[in-house]
Order: sequence, then structure tokens, then C-alpha cells
Amino acid sequence: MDVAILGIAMSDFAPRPELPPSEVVYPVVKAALADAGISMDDLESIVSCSQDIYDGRTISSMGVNEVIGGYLRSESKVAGDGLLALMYGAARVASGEYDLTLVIAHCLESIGNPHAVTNGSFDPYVQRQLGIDSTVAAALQASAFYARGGLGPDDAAEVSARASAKAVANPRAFRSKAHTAADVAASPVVCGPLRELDGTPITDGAVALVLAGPNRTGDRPVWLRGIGTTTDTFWTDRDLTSVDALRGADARASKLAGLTAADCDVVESASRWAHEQLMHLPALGLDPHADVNPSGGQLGGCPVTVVGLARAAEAALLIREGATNALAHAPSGIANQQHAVAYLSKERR
Amino acid sequence: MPEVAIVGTGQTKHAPKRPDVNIPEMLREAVDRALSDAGVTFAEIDAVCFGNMDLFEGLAQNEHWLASTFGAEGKPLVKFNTGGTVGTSTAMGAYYFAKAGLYERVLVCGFQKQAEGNSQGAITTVGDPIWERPMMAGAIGNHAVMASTYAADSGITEEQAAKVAVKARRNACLNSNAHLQLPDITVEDVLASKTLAYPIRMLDMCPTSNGACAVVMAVDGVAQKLAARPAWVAAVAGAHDQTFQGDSPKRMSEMRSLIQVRKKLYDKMGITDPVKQFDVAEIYEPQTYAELAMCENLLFCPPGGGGAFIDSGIPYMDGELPVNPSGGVLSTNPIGATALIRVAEAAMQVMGRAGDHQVKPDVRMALATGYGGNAWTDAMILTSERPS
Repeated sequence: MDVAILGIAMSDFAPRPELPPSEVVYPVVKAALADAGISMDDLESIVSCSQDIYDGRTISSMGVNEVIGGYLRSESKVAGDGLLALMYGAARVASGEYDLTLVIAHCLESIGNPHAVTNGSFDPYVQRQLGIDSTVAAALQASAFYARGGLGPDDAAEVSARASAKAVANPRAFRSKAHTAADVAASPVVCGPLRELDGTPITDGAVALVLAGPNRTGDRPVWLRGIGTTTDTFWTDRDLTSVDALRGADARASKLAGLTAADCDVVESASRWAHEQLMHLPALGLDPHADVNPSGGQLGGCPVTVVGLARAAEAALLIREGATNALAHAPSGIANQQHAVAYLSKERR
Repeated sequence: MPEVAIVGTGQTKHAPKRPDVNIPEMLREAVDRALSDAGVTFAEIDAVCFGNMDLFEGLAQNEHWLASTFGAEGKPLVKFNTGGTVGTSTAMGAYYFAKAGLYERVLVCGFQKQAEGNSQGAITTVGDPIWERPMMAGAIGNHAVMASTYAADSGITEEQAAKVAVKARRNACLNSNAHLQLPDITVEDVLASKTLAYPIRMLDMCPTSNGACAVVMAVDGVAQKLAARPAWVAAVAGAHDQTFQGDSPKRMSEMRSLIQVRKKLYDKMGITDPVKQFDVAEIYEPQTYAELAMCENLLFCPPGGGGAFIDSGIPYMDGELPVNPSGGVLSTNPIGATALIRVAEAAMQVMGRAGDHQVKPDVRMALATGYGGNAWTDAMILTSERPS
């Protein structure tokens, strides 16, 4: 793909219930445009990413329409993970019909009731009535994964401890205090076998990237070389420990990019719960305990919907700072039904 | 970059209720029909674009639950959610993915099963929670404000608006999928129907439908093998108006997003006389006044000429430019599918597969629009000739 990332901006990630979405989003859009060296007038198209259920507002993009430059422009909204919005924005640029395109993901995850919100994504006829939510599904997945033998809760605790140490060093991440594996093991059980410190703190925030075609790349472009996604069947129709969708997403992105995880000096892989990282990294061909997520990752605090675009933004910033190739990954859906992977590089393919 | 065409469409019979099927079963009806119309199986589909307003049924992130319904397992899946325009937004997404060279065959689908939810309850939340929700809640209140300002500006009479209602429901009688088929409806019936919010009466407004629509898109080289006469996507555009109605007081007489889209499409296609150059238009008219306002803003008639336009007979089935031969949104409105139905209907006309409501055998250029959000517009021009 001949798509460059020209502007990068991220908010801090922290609960901001006192702000409407527009006031969380506008500073990030402004910073991304400034970083790209363009004004809103230069924008040709916009892809936003948000979820009505989290915003408590039908057509959640309407609440940010003006501040993302939607007025009299072609703006569309992807309801899913931010990497899917990045894929759509990149397709708009690669189609040749648009050049400067803003991709903006936002979510105020803290304003809703997480149980009610995630219960809404289960099938409405049978499963939802059982009172199940995404934490319960993640716990069932963790149980199934640990039951396979090999890796267990102690490994997840190490993943969480490493992430917290990195998040403390990242000013945008929410976690301000590092914890140890022993702290994780001593933290309260949320839903067995998951403990509180296995998980991600609930936060709010936004991330924006400005994309451009190959003729307008600025003096420090980061190339989006490839991006792909694959979904699996609904959680009750599959082995919860399967990572086939991640392998599929990675294969698609890798083919476009001409890169694999082994070529990357930065890997930003999202996990809402620490055990997921132990499942995901081997699917990318990496050791489950590989040293990834220099930002602290999602475990350091990053809202759903925003998380994939945040991984891409962190990866792009590190390429600007000298890294050569980077992989950004985020799952979405109940027990990680869908995955998206992007490869970024300082070199154009 | 490859050109992209529609090679198959499928719809359910749209209905006030579908107690015989659940959501996946209803959606699958349209998907199966589109695959069959395109002559492909799930195995040949590269990616799925899905559109729906999940809050209307109190659902969330339902693309995951429904993934197997539209055969997305093992494939890329992207969900769109933009309100009334969601069907066109989803079709546009599929178009850009194919145009970018990512996929060769894309399934596009959407649905709404409004009988299992509360759409107006959800639509109420589109407005700003402090300024707008208490005053213009839901679609009807918003449209009443827009229609009355438009009528005041253009001099449209209630009878002229009622003619649009009659045209739509009579056209719908020729469309076996349409929800509201009223062969004997008269202007008097419309004027005698219950006032919902003046000047909008019950028969001026679109119905609450349950149904689904699906479309198969394919790139140049594949499309010609799948359809004898593909409907090529020749031009695509989208634009938004401002969110607050108070920021665009002439929201319906001067439809800024539609004007923006029209300029882009007409420039690209060299359209100077749309009534002569288009063979058919399937436009997203949520209520009767809106259709006339949209015809004005699309330059089917001069500004303020919407009333004379319907009086002239031009937009009727046998007129010079049939507008909504399917019966339009006024006859069928499963919201998450409604704008995709406009695209599918325009494609059916170009492909010569519209059955009893085919306006003529050789439809060369068709317009499809989507409308929603708060005065947002999407549009596509489909042609029988492959764009060069």
C-alpha cells in the first residue's frame, strides 16, 4: 500500500466523565493536523471510529461532526476497533479518490456501565438473558487457555507487571504505579481466574492519524505498508483458545507489507487481559514472553475502540524516533473474535 | 485502480413485523438472494461490509454475533454505523476497499428489525442532550421543523406533498418487496390521515419496516463474468451538514450536504441536464416534502419548483425521470438497510432486473442517494457502461 502517516496525535488516557466527546476529540484532531502541517481546510475525507452503545448516543459521530471536519466533507464512521477505521481510511487514500484523510477514534468508556454495555453484544435471544458480559467471556477463555497446560496465571501476572512498568514511563498511559507479579496474584478476583490487575483500567480518550498518498509525504513519513483483518465465528461456535483470526489478519497485512513480526523492532499488541498476550504473541511467531509494547500497551490503560489506532500511533511515533519496522495489533469482539494487524515502516515498499 | 460494479442484489419482503424469523434468519434471506442473483457462493466472497443501527434493537457490536449469518468467518469484516445513510456508507466502504485493490468480491449487507426494538427511542438520542432532545425528539419532530420551513420558502402545498405519498405507495404495488402497498390511495386519504407533527401527517411519513438488503460488488474483470450487464459505480460522494438545526435554518430548502454531493457527482459525470441524463433516480425521501426538496436541490427542477415538478408528472413511473419507482423510503424503511435498498434498486434498474417496476429496458444511468444523520447525504451514480 502506498499510504503514509503524516500526522499523529493522542490524548492522555484517563476517565474524563466531565467532558463531552467533542471536547475530548477536538484537541487531538487539532494536534494531528498541526503535526501533519495542514489545516482542517486541507482535509479531503474523514473516517471516524466510535460505538453508539459506549457514547449513549445514536450515530455517535454526530456528536463530534464539526470538530472532526465533517461539515461539507465525506466523513464515514466505522463501528469497531480503530485499526478497522485505519484500514478504511487507507483504502480511501489507496483508491486514488482522496488524498489527505483524517482517521479519528474516540471513546468515553468510563461513562457507561461496563456490564450493561458489553452484555448488549451477546445474542439477544438466549445469551444476554444469562447476564453474561465480556469479562465473563474473557474468564472462560482464560480458563480454557490455562487448561491446555504450559502457560498459566503466573505467566499472565508477569505480562501485567511488565506492562505496568512500561506504562509508568509513558506519559499518555493511565497507570502511574508499577505493580509486581506478586501484586497481581494478591489482587482481588474479578471473575475467576482473572484478577483485577490482570486487566485494563477503564479510561477515556481519542487518537487521530492523518493519512496521505505517496505524493504528499512530508519530511518524516511513516509508511503504512499493509493492514488486514479477519473475523472468526461467534464465541459460542468456536474453541475460545483459537487464534486463527489473528493468523488470518497477520497473513493479509504481511502479504501487503512484505514484512513479518520477525522483521519488526517494535510490536504493539493489544490485550484487555494479560492472558490474551500469551495467546496472541505465538500466533505472530513470537515468544509468549517476548518484550513487546514499549508504550505499556492496552494494559497500561486505553479505551476500547480507540485501542487499535492507539497501537498504530505508538508504533508510528517510535518509527519517527528511529525504529525501522513496527507491527500494531488489536483484537475486538467477545473473547477476541476479530483481529486486525498493521505493519508500519520508515521505508516505502 | 480497478473499476467496481454491482453484480447482484437481494432483499427480503419488507414488512411491519417478521415474527416468523429472528434477526439472523431475516438477514440471511437477503444475503442468500444477493449471492444467488450474483451467481456466487460464500466461498467466493473476499470480504463483508455490514451496516446497521444496532441501538435501535438495543443491540451492540452485533457484527460479531452475526458474522456467520453473512459468511464472514475467516474473512475481513467491517461494520458501519451512520444513521439513515448507513446503507450507502456501507456500500461506499465496500467500493473503496475494492477500488483500493484489497478485495475482488465484496458482500454488502444491512438490516433493521424494528419490531424488536424502539427506533424512535434510539433516534431521540441523536440530538444534543441539552439543547435539542427536549424540543425535536425523534425523526418526526425534526422533519416537521424542516418541512414547514421548506414549505414556507417554496410555497409547496399540502396537496402537492400528498401527491408524493400517492405516487410512492402506488409505485410500491409494482414492487413485490415493498412494505406499504396502497393501490387505491388518494390525495384526500393523505390529507385526512392523522397529523403527527404539522405539516407531517401519517401518510406523509415513511413506515417502520422490518427487512434486509444485500449487494455483491466485484472489480473489473470479475464483474463482467458474473453479470451480463453489471451496474458500474461511476461516481461516489458524501457530505455532512452541521449538527445543530439552528446552524442551518434552511436545512430542507437549501440542502447543503446534497448540494455539495451534487456538485462533485455532476462535475465528474458531466451532468448538466439531470432530467434528461438520468434514466431513473432512487432517492432517500424520509417524508413527502423531502422528496420535492431533494428534487430541487438535485436540479431536477428550479429552486422553489418542487410543487410544479410533481404536478408536471415528470417523476412518475411513466414520466421523463421516474423518481423512486420502487416506492421509495415512503413505502419501505428498514433503516439499517434503507439507503442500501436505494443502491440495490438503482442497480436493479441498470441491470434490467427490476421486474414490474423496471422503468425501461435500457437504463444507462441511475442515481441513488442516502440521507440521514442530521442532514447528511451520500450518493452514487451507477451506469451500464464501464467508466473509462
